[in-house]
Amino acid sequence: MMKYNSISTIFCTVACITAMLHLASCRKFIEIPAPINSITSDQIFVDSVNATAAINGIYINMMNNGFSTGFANSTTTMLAGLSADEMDNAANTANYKEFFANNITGTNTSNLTFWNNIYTYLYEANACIEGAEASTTLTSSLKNRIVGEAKFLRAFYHFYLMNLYGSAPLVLTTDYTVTSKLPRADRSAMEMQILADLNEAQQLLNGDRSAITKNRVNRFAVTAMLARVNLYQQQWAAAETAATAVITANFRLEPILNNVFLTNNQEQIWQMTPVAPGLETTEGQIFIPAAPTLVPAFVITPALNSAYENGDQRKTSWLRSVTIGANTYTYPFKYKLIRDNNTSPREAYSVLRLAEQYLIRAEARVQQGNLSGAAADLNVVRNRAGLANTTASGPSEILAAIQRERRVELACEWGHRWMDLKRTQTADAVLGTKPNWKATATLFPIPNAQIILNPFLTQNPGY
Amino acid sequence: MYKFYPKIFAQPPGRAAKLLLIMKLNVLLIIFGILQVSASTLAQKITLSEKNAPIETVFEKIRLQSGYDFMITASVLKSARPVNIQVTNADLSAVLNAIFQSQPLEYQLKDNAVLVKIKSPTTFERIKSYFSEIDVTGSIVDPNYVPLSGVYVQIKGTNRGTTTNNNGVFTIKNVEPGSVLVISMMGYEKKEVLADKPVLGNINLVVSTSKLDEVQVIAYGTTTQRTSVGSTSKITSEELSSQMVINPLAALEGRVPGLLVTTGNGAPGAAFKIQIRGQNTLGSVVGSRTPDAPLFIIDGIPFAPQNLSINRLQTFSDANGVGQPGGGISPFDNIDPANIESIEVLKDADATSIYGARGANGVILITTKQGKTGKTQLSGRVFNSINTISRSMPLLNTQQYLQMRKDALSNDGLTANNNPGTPGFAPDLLIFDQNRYSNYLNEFFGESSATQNASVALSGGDFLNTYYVGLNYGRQTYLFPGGFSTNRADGVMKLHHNSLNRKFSVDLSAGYAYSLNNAPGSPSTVSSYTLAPNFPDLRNADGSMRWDINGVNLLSYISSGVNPLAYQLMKNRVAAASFNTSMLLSYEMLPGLKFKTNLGYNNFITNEYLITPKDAQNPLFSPQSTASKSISNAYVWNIEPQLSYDKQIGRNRLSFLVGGTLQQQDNNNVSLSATNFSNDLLINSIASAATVTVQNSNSPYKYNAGFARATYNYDSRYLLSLNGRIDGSSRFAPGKQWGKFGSVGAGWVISQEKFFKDLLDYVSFAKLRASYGTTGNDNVGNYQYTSNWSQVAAGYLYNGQLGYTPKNLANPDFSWSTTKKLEGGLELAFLKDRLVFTGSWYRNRSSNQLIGYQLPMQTGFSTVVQNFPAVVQNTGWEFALSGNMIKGKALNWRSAFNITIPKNKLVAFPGIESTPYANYLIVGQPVSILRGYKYAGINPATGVYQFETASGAVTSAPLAVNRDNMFNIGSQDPKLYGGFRNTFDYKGFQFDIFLEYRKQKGYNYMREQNNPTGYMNNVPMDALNTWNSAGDNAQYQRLTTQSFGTAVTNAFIYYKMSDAVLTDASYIRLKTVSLSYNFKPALLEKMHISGFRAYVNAQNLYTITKYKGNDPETQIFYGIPPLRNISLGLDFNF
Repeated sequence: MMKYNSISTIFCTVACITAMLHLASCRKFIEIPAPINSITSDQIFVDSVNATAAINGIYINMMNNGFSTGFANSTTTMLAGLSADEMDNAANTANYKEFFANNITGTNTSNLTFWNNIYTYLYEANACIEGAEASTTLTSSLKNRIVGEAKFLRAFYHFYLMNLYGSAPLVLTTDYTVTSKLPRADRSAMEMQILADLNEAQQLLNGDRSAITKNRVNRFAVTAMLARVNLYQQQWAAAETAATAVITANFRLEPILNNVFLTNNQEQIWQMTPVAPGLETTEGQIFIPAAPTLVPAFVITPALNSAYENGDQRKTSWLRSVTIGANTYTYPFKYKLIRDNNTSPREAYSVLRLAEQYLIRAEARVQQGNLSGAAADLNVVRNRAGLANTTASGPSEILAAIQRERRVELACEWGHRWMDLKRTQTADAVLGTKPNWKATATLFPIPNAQIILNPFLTQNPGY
Repeated sequence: MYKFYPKIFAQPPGRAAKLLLIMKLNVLLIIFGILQVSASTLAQKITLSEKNAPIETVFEKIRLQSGYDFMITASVLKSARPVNIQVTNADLSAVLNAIFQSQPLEYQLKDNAVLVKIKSPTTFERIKSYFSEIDVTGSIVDPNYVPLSGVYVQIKGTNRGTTTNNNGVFTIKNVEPGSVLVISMMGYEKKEVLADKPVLGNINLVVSTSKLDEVQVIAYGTTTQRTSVGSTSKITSEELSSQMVINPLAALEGRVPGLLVTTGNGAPGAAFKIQIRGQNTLGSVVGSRTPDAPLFIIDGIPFAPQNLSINRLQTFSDANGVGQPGGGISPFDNIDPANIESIEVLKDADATSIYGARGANGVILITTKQGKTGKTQLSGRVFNSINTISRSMPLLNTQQYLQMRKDALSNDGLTANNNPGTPGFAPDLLIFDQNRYSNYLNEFFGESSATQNASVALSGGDFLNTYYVGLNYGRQTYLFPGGFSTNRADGVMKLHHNSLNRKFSVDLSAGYAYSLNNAPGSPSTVSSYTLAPNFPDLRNADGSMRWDINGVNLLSYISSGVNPLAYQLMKNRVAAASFNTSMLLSYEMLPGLKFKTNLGYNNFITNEYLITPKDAQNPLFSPQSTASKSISNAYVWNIEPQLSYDKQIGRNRLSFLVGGTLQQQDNNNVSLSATNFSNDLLINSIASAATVTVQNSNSPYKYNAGFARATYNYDSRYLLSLNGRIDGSSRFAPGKQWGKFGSVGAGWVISQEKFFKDLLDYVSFAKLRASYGTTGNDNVGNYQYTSNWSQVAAGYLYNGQLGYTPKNLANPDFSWSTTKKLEGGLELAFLKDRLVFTGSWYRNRSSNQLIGYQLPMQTGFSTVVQNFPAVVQNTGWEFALSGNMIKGKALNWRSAFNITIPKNKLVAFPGIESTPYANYLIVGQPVSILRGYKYAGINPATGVYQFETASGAVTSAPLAVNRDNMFNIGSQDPKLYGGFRNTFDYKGFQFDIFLEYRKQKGYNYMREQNNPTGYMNNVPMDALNTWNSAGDNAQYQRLTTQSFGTAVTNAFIYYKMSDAVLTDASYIRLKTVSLSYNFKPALLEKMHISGFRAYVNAQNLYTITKYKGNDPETQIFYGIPPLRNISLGLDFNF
């Protein structure tokens, strides 16, 4: 042993052991830098750029998830349009055919992604609400705007869930330990929450007196939505008040029908800008055949085609036909562009526009006995389409005329027809002519996959 | 008759009673001997002539001649020396005096007995003996005269001994002349040397030929089967080189018990699924399975890409989908099997727990070749193979096909029409040539491809330095034309250096490999082989792609609208460069005390370019050319300082190891996708695109650990091993980062026990071993404990403004998952280790599973990472038997058989009823349990499939929301698997045959049929066994031309989800057959060649199976089955 330099050896050994023990216990060695392509939530709601980006993300997602798998940006139009008597799927895709046949299976993937997407956006809206409310650095005006937009969106999503599925889980938090076990809420609870969120959004956004930005949720979008929700809840006076507030604001019906869906159109209250680089709206891409020799994927039904009165310019402006062989196919043509390379999009996806507000107010006025006011509102819409004033007289005739007008004015737009038939209790009468119609078909099925994932969910009758 | 009282040393207490009994028996026998003696007539004169005879032999002869019994204890006998005596008719006492004169013993005559005891030495004798004892020194070397350090040298019959120093030198003081030294070293045969002079010079040890002494590489060291308590299997370079494969993983299939290797598909470069001892974790998505891959370590450095596919863009190999386990291109394609010395598979807690968090799924250690001391050698291997698909299903010819279509139409009550999109649309009957026949199966994968491979290695070295340099080039083409191939070139270099005093050593290794896989960019190419056999030519007369047929767009005939040949224009060029370097520094500070540091860096860069030119797209959609580029850079560096101490004290060998691991890795990626190229000629330049979007990602990971191991070996008889590790991982939230793992293993070599040797002398080795311990897993993404937001998608702005979207649900509470491993093993060797048997039973239990817990989407996300309450258990039996069945001069027959019988079970899952897993998992059943409909035959009246419901009724539409009507229909896990190898050597010829087998259920070809039989696509001949009219007893339901929306088509969908498609997929595959000839050395010497071997080899030659589908292993209908390769090759050695 002594022939080794024992002192230095022992020193070496001790040093090695110390070094290794140090190594093994050093926490620094397992600290990694923050991710390069993501931001943690505590950084988001610190400054205006990031906080605004958080809410922008919702709009982008709504416009990005569209092509046959979304909620906004074509999907609601398609699924509800197929379920009602607006359109048919000429491409014979099984998923869509089930909607057209009112025989949706619980495993239908379009139904599933529709549901999933709404809840994804709901999470984002709640995250924005929670993040902005908890922020100590955002200005109060920005906070109000973010929370206001997010609350509006939350109401908007719940509104569609309620109308398409009857009722659905009411999600008001991002906490998954809470939300994962939520059952379907009572319909009344949903209605109350929708109104509460809209009212709150109105409070928060009303303070903002700057010029209206149409491509964001703005104070008039909230009012317009309040008009619609009140109409659905048969709160006629409230519906009229809200619609009047929008109509008297700085919006005008666009006289040229072909221009209604252009960006920044005077008729638009809230319209979303396409986000895919080089592409226009998804509806344009889906409805317009890629080549003139192709059968359109979606065609409008003969029933809708014949619902237009003679001389209705909407029939020529907002519909288009293609003849292949012996067959003529008519497809929706509100959006006229597919691709617009290298420039910012020229069309924007309309969510709320003024024509609907006139029709809401007309209906609310009839219900309150103001027939002339109703007819006047109806005529504003008719005249723009090149039609003469309505000849309807008496409440029921005018009401029917309003429904006819809604059908053609709002055709293939956000499922208006489907929801109108349901809210006016006329679905059975009108759609009973479809071969497999059942009264229970007015509600979409809760996706089976989600019922499996949440044992507290129940299925709608008939599925 | 002599009996010896055995000396008891360190016997376990439980054995004492039995030994006592043996002792009593001995006394009885001695008394019997005495009685016998008294009865005999005895001569008093003794005649002896003995040279170096054992004393007991001499005593026996005297007893026979004199009738005197000798009483001596075993311990006394041990000190006796050999006897030299030459007497004729001498007196007994004179003879005894002569004998005992040179013995350290004395005797006493009593009656007719001679009592023998140790001589009490006189003072003079003591002084004398002191001077006669010598100091012995010697040097232990291996066959190449390389000094061996740490060799234990022991004086036989004593506890005295020493170990050799760095230079192989030992010195033992005061050795009595005539003592015998026993020299033992792991991996070498035990040697005994007479210590008859002070300087013994070089003592050569011979490498043991016993499998038990083969060196096994384990974590931070080596061991042998003889002394290990863990479960480790080894594949040697001999076994690797018996197979002509490009990817080393392919060479493992069926060879290792407990290791399940499954070929992804037959495309060149395709990945392999690898799993050790079953599925430990639940799938991250309900119903799916995570790969649970083992940890791969090459020369001590974790392999950066592990066993994940290297491509991020789609390639032809993605038959199972991009990024799916077993799909894509394998990173191991960059490694030449010729440079691998051995592959060790570590399985149990003892072997893996020192890897702590990374060892839960087992560890695979790849050790590359190192230079050997000796003359410079140039060795090499060249082979060429022809590859064809091993097994496929014949499809209908045109006549059969058209008849099927007509029958289907009449079943549907339709007449053929020519209107696309309407029921009854049948261009194949109306427009297409009724006599045309194309065998699309042949067109898409009927051709043969070629493999070329050449490897050379230069190696050699002296006592202090060795080197190894290896070079390889390999190339394999795809089965179809288009110039597709995968190519590899690699080079490795290894240096070993010892300082002159051999206290310091350094090992350097560096390897660089480059592979280029020119792959078709879409697996859809082969999915089109089921085109109608009379489908018109896919090319126009000028050779361009055809996009319309008689004016009707292809879209009407092919649902994707894409010409199948066009997929071949989508090309993905996947280039991968891997760089691997490591340095091992070792310094012996004190005898037995070593400080080592392992430094390593591994870098794997993948560069892909995928193009979709305009020509590859249906012009109807006014397409634009697109291209994607992806650059991935995965690296790992680690530093592992270690301090080890080995000490032999008598028969006790102790070793300790403490060390630490510092590891950092990252896998970053930049992907660019480009659209709208100005010109297709510029499609390979991404800058020529009008629109380019960029995405990037990174995933830094840091890992830090301290580990320790202690092993104890008493006389190669009792073995004990303890391991411990503390791990820290960056994947967990602060406070949750550290985990502790450990194991204990013990072995008892029963064959070292005397009683065992006496009882069973044909058993040359027997060991019982057991181990128990924990390992962990941190296999989750990074940053999952915080809530992350990122940009929605590259280039997606909202009115020019940035948008963020949340990426995950944060859960700061998750931490390590643990796998508790328990194992028991029995190892036996027979007939001087010619036959070696290993049997193991294991039980692995994984808990706190770290997976994405399924959530309903109402939470905003489908999963959240959390520890899971479920306990998954894998148990199994593994047996391996190998041996030299015939060891003759001319014929040598070696055989190796292994079998694994695994069983997977979900042991516990508290609260499963209220989780989404309730519908997928069943406690007590395997986690791979499949839920499906219960097939109940064909409705004889309607000819439609029927299924049993939960209530026992029979229906054709069994759908129920809660999957009530779905039953446990079995699992695809193999019930057993293994391999059987036989090698025959006869006069220079070698014949090697390896069978791989698997007993399992698998999805048959019906599972992947996109449309019911009768639709406008070709089907295998088997599918024609259909119901035609009431009362038919057919296998398949009625034909239909429809693809959805009818009772028949719905029943078809249920059928695909039923137990009817989960059928027997067991197989026995003739995996390797080779015949080689070793040219005679005499012949070669003249040519200065030391070895030359020529061979013909076949992989996947034949498969015996009842499986209905292309291949029972891959079970993919729309993909290339494993290829059959027939190779010719040469190995040489200068």
